[in-house]
Amino acid sequence: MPDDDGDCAFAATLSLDNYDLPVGAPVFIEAYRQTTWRRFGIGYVGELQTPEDRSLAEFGSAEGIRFRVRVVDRATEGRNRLPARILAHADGIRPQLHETKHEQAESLLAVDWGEDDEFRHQPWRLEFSEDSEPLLRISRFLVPNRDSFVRSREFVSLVAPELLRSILNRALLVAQVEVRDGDCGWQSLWVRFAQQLPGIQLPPRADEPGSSEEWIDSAVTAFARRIDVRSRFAQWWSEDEAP
Amino acid sequence: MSEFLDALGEETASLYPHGLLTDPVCTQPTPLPVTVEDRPFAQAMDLARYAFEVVANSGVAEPDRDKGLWAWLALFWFRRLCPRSTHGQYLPGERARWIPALDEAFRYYRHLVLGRYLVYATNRDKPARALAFLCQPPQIVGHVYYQLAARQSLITCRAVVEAATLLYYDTAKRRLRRNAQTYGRAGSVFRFANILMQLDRTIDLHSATGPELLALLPAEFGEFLSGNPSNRGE
Repeated sequence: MPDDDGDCAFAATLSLDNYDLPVGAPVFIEAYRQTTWRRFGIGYVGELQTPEDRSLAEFGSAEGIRFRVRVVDRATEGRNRLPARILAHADGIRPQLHETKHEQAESLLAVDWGEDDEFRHQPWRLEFSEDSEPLLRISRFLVPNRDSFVRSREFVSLVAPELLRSILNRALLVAQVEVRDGDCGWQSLWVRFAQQLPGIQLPPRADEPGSSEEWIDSAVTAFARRIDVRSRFAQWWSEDEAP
Repeated sequence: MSEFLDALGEETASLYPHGLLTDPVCTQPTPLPVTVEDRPFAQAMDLARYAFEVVANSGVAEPDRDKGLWAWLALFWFRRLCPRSTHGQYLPGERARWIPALDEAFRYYRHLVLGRYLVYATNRDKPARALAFLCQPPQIVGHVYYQLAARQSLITCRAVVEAATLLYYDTAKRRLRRNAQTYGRAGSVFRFANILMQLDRTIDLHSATGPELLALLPAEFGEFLSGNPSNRGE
C-alpha cells in the first residue's frame, strides 16, 4: 500500500469472470475510513482498467482503511431521476499492507468497549447486524481493563470458543453463506480463519443437512485445543471450590 | 483527564485540570504555532468551522488520527461543551465524547469536537448541506447525528447528508423540525437510517443527489417532505 515515496496508494487485482454481469457495467473501488471516502473508477466489467491516480493521500496512513467494490447498472442512471442500481458489491475488504515496520495482527473480531447506559448488567455481549461484521461489546461499567479481561483465563476458557461457535453459526447456518475463493466479507474471513485450524477442511455445502453443524463443532474443538482451553480452565476451576 | 472525568460524577469533583493543557509531560506543540480561543459557540456548526480552521493552520499531518489533539481541544472547551444538571453539576457522559476512540468504528464519531469536525470537513465545499447534523448547540448531540454518523456508508455520502438536511432542518426556524428525532415516529430519522441501509444494498447512493434520494422514500415521510418548501421544489 505505501509506495516507494511513502505516500499511501493501493493496487488491486479484480476478477469478475465468474459473475454474470453486463460487460458494460461500470466498476468502482472505494476506500474509506471514518468519514473519509474516495471512489476510483476502474473501467467496466468487460474492460477493467488500472486508474492512474490510486493515491490515498487524504487518508494519511494506511491504518484502518477498508475497501469496497461496486458494480453499477449504468442503464438506469439518470433515468426518471433514479440513481444507478447496484448489480454487485463487496464490502469491508481489508488491504494487505505492502510492508509494515512492525508486524501487528489486526483483530478479526471488532470490539466496542463503551459506557452505554443499557449495558450496565452484562460484562459482554456478541452482536450481529445485517450491515456490519460481528461486534463484541464489553461494558466499561463492569470491566475497567478491556485487554486484561479478554486475555484472562476465565474469558479465554469460557467465552472464546463460544464466540467462534456463534460467529460460524451465524455465517453458515443463519446466513447460509457459501464461501468462494476471493470472497472478502466477514463470513468468509471467519470461515478461512477456521480452516487454518488443524484438521479443518472446507465447510460443507449448504444443501448437505447436518454437516455444517458437525463442521462447526470440529472447528470449535480445534480452536479450543489451539488456545489450550483445558489447561486454562484447570488453572482457575477446582471441584473443591464448587458450591 | 480520565481521573477528572471520573471525579465529575462524585460529590468531591476535581477542579478543572487547567495544568494539563500546558504540562509538557502530557502535551506537545503542534508543528506550526496556532492560537485557540476559548469562545462561545451558538451551534455545533460554529464549533466545527472554527476547529477546522485551527487544525488547518496547525500543521498537524493526520488530524483525524491524532488522539491527543482532539482530547486537548475537548478539554480546552470543556466548560463550553459539557452539559450541566439543573444543579450545575457537569454531566460529561461517556468517555468517548472527550477522549476520542479513534480505532473503534462504533465510537469515534461520538467525540464532541472530532465528530463535528469530520462532518464539517467532509462537507466543507458546502457546509450548509450538513445543517441537520450541526445546527444544535454543541452540548447537544441529537439523533439525526447519531443515527447517520454511526453508519459509515451513510455519513460519507453527500446525497444522504443533503437529504437529511432537506428532510429535517427547518430553514425558517434554524433548527431541526419537530418529530424528526422521535423514536417510533413515521418518517423520523430512525426510519430514514434504516431505509437508507436497505437502499444502500441496491442503489448506488454516491451517484445520487439529495432530491433523488428523497424521491425514493416511502409515503411515511410525507410529513417531512411536504413541510419543507425546498422539497416541494419551491
